[in-house]
Amino acid sequence: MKKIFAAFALFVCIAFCSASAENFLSVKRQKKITPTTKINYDFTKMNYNIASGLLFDMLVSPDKYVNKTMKIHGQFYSENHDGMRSFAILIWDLTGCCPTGMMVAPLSGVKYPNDFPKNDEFVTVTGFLEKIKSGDDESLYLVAEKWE
Amino acid sequence: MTELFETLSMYLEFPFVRYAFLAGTMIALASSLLGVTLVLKRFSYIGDGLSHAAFGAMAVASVLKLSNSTIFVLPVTVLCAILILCAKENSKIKGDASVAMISVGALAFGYFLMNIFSPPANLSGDVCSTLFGSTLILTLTKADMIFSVGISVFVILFFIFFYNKIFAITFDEDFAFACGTRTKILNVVLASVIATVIVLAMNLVGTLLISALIIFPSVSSMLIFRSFRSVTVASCVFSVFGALVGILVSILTETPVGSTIVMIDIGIFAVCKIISAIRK
Repeated sequence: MKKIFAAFALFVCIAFCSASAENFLSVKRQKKITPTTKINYDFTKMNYNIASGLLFDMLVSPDKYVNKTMKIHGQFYSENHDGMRSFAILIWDLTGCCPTGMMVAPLSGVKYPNDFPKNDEFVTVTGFLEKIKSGDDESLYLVAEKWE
Repeated sequence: MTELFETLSMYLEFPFVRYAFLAGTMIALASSLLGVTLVLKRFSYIGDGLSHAAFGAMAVASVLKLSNSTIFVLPVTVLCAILILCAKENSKIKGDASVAMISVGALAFGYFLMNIFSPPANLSGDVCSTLFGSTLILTLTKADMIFSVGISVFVILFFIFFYNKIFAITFDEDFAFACGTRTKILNVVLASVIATVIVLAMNLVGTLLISALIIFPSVSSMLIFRSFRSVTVASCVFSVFGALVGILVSILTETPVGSTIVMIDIGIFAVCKIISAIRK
């Protein structure tokens, strides 16, 4: 009887987890950040003005940033839009009116929400910049290799 | 101190920071040249009205999803400048009332449009940045920088070539007309050039702070110098100094670019006022 109950509970758990599983962009690990890896764009050492200027430049001319390494500290933001979950790290200015941010793509194999920070939590993400196609658009994403 | 220089040299490696310094200097130079004429002709508030009109036009450009908003914003602002000038001469609506009407009307229209038709993810951030120029100058692309510098050079050349005529209509329009200067045409051309400078200056200090960029350097130089030429030259020096120091301070201390430049301009004005008081 116990075995049947355990099997039933396991089935319910699996069914619940697969029902709540969401789609999101993920990238297969191709490179690895090590302590000796040079960080090309370390946003933790930049103030908001420079960070927002650089993020805007990444938005308008993404090609020159592909394959570069980046480290960013900010507020984790996640939302579900039409069944597709997206992630971003937001940096706020001192007045709190004008946030700017970077879209983040996790490595494949991670599960939401277990392997992610909570929404609005402040985290530091290190990774590589990649251009990823989503629908008709191709945008620059930070492939998150390391969450702190 | 060494750390400060290291930080600055790291920031200067980014092209957009270099573009900001270059474009900022040229825009400040162009705006200060025309600022003297505007202040002396009692047209100081026109800059404010036109900048709000430019904000409204920018909102329309954003709703139309134009990739280069300047191609729309510039002609609309020029048109508004001509309308304001014509209204000053002909209409039953007096000059200051027409400026105020265009100013608040365009501002309200712009914000209304942005809310109704084009709700981006962060509307308040976009509007805040456009109105106060918090980081706009640091978001110039190479093409934007070339455009800003090119137009600024055009404005400077215009001022140099028409210096005598601008001088004449600034002080005595009737006398200039009697001497054969086509004052109406020159006023319209001058209004168009002013509108062009306003559109450029939006990138540097934001829509609401443009008047400061035009007025403060001119008024500061008038406190110390007397002749039109020396006031104009001093105004250029003060304006460029304010823009350069303002951008430098803001990128090092994380203050908003537009208001930092205006703070420096206010500081220059205070120093000039003290010098003027000591002289008396």
